Amino acid sequence: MLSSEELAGKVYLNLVHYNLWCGVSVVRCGDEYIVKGCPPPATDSNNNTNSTSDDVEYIVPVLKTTKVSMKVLDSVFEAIEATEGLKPKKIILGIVDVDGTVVYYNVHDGIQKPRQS
Amino acid sequence: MSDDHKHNNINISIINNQILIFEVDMICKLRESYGIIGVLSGTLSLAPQQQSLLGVPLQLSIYELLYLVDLGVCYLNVDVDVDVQGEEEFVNDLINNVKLKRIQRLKKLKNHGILQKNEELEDKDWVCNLNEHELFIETKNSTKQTNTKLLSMNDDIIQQLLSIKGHDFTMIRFQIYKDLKKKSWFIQPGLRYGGDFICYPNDPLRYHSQLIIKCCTWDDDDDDVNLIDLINFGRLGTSVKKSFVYGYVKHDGIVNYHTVEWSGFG
Repeated sequence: MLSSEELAGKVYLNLVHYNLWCGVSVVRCGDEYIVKGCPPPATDSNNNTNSTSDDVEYIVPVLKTTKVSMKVLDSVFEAIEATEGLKPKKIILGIVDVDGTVVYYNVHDGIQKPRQS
Repeated sequence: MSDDHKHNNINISIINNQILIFEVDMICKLRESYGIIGVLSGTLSLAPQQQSLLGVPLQLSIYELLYLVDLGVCYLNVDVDVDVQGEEEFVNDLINNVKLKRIQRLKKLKNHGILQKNEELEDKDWVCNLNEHELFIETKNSTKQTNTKLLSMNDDIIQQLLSIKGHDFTMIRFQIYKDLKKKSWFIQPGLRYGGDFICYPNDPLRYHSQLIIKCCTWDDDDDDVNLIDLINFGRLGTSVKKSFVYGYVKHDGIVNYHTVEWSGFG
């Protein structure tokens, strides 16, 4: 079983070297380690209206086999608020498998309508 | 029944564990005034394949029923009993119809000289039951309605309603249903997308649905979200352009939601 710090390390490497994120760092948040950073600026010229490169995203590393309760997700939001001083609108679950795959799923607090596209 | 009574209330019947509404004007009223859609479930008994054109009765879920009971507008048709004698006649009519078809076919075969004699004799006793019915059979309205009873939110009635078999009722789902209604969503059953509810911003005839709701507990270990399910639902929601939403109720009774979507990378 990987420790929280090791998982965060895997997500860190994946974000920096595979997804080319900027300003990525591993921070301690309560008892767990999380990763914060900014997504790369959108290269798609059609999509330049929502350049979100200034917004810091919080990535919570979790192993594929973990089960999460709604209480745990709530406590992650609260822990980030306590550490960073601001409650994020969304967190990103970085789901790690032992074969090296990492997938990312956004979790918003509250109801978020689907994106128009 | 006075006109006033008729216009302000919703009369429901509970038959064979199904919650049904038979009056078209009440179905309209439910849709327009309460944002309750239900599921049309009536069909032609002899052509049940016409599933895209279902009609009355409207079938309600237990959550829709309890929501109406909570509003205090719901009347239960009591002493409604399908006349067993009438039902038997109906079944006999159906059987006779099938027999009639068979005899017509045998006659046709006989005319073509294909039919063997013993087969004809075997069917002889059916002839006495011949009738003129073809595809459509007139069914007598054999229900007896003597009284209606206001359903209110008291323990006896709740227990009575929850004893309707087959409805997988949980209090958490009902609390979330009520909260979504309060937020003006139009709610339909969620089976299509593997959730508990589907939410439309307005009438489902005019809008696509936007949310798939799955209800879960706040901190019950048995009900923890498996990450593989989260990936399944998140990806499904993204591909059908809907948000996948986990609804839950905290210990203090506050309903909250977590929306899951694919991040678009990785």
